Amino acid sequence: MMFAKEFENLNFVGSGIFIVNREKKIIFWNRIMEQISGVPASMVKDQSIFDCFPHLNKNLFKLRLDSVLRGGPPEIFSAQLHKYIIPCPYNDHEMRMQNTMAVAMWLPEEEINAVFSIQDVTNEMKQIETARKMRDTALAEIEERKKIEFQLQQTVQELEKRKSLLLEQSKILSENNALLAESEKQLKAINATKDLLFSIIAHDIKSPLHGLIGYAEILLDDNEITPEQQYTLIKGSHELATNLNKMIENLLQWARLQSDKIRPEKIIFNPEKLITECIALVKPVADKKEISLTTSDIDNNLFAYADVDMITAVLRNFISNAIKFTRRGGKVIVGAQKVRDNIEFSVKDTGVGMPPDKAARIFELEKTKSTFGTEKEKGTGLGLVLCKELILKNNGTYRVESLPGEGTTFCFSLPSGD
Amino acid sequence: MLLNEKQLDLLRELLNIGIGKSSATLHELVNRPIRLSVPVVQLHSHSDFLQVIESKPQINYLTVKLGFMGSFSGISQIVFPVDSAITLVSILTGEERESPDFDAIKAGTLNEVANMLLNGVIGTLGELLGDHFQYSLPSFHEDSLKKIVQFNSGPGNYILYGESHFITDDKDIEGDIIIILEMPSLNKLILVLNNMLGETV
Repeated sequence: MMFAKEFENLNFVGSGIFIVNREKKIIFWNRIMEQISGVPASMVKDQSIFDCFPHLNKNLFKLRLDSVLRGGPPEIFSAQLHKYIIPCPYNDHEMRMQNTMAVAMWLPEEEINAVFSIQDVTNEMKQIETARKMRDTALAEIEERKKIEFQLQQTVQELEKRKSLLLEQSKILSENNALLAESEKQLKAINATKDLLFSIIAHDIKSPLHGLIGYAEILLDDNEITPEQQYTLIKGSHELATNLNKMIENLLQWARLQSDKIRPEKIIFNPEKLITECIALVKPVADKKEISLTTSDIDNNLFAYADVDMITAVLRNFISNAIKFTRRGGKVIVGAQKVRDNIEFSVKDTGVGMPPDKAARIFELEKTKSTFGTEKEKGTGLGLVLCKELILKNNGTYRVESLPGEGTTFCFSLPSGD
Repeated sequence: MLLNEKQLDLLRELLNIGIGKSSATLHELVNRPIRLSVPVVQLHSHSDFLQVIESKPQINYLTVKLGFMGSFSGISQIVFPVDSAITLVSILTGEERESPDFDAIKAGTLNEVANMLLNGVIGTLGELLGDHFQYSLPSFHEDSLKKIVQFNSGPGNYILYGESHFITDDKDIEGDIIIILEMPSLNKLILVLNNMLGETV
């Protein structure tokens, strides 16, 4: 038995235990100490602890050991502050980490030994180190992920901005396309109107011109023509030229209206007075066909707001048309009344009337529209088209009511001058 | 009042002497300047002390406990709020303060430091009484302050309470020293104090 009998049971304790006496000599070194330190008990028995382990030969350890050997409180040497008291290899380059406690052991006759117990915490420290590394790695990954998420967020925001911009641009593009389509449509309509107009003009100019040329040739070539025949031919030429002139005038006016060069000069005027003046202008034509041309009961206190010259032209045209398409002995009545905030003008005749489908197109420019009156009066075909433009220029509206054989009523409304 | 002003003053001096012995060792151990002091010392009955700690933050504390037995017996403890303990250990070891967790390794370090302080205090008391104590093994655990006191004390006991300050790296870390005494031990303490003051009971 190497050591004192009373210490033998300490060989069965699961920790490293060694005992130092007052002389600082190692008087017990258990089996666990042999195993963990690799130092056999025989090598340290009764040796000075400072000779066996010179690194302990410093005040910090010596003073605290002295305190225990004087019967003082236990002393703790923690792994974090000391690493180890007795070096025990963990591997080729590392020592085991230990929590060591030194406690006074009282013996008979006031003898005190210091009992050292060693708790190996190497694995715990390694686990903590590993856990810290994993935690640091996880934190770094989280940080990295946060950065990436932030970048993604920024990218998404940027993309959203661009998307909004693109949508905005697309919207503008769509609007522009719609405008372009509308412009194209209008251009097509204008071109179509122009083409139609040219073909009508060509026809309506050619016919009277042919007539004029024909009459002129007869007058020039025929030596045997009588004065009465000459008068008839000249009268016919005059009529043709007059109609041609009127048509060209209408055409020019229509062209000016289309180009927006004519702007209405609006004033407040008395419809009753204007109607009376228009009737006076056209009455000779009505009298020739024995047509009664009168006014209805018009309130003298009505006032309308429009360009007087333009409305005069409209009224004259409507009244002329009414006379043209009314048989001899018929009636034409011109009226005006207040309807809500407007003044409605009307020209009602007892003429031939027209079917509803023709009435619906009466204000449109058409190639095949018949313009001959009840006594073969010739028209330009542009009159009603011009009337429509003039009414619209003055912020007015128009309509026609007609049935075959029952006459026609042309109406147009203008803003009241009240 | 259990102790008068002079007795409390003397006791405070004695505790500061004990703590002062420890600070020199601690300074050498951690190689950093550390000042330790116990500026406040009070004596309470068990029930009064439970009232006193009601005003303390209701958080968890870490405690190292060292029992002593002799002609004068009791339990000495030093308690730190968990956060202060972590800060103290990180300062003493020079490691960066990391997680708010107090792992086993840090517990070992706090165990050593706190034990060192308690050794200083109880050692001084032992010398004062001319007594040899038997000591229990220092133990470490975590709980609320009320439970720590209730676990180790009961009606009839007296609590010697001191606020200790660790001043290092421009930081002032507080820990409380609690010494639980039974009545006979308190009487003996008062006797010793009076003798030192040259007073008779």
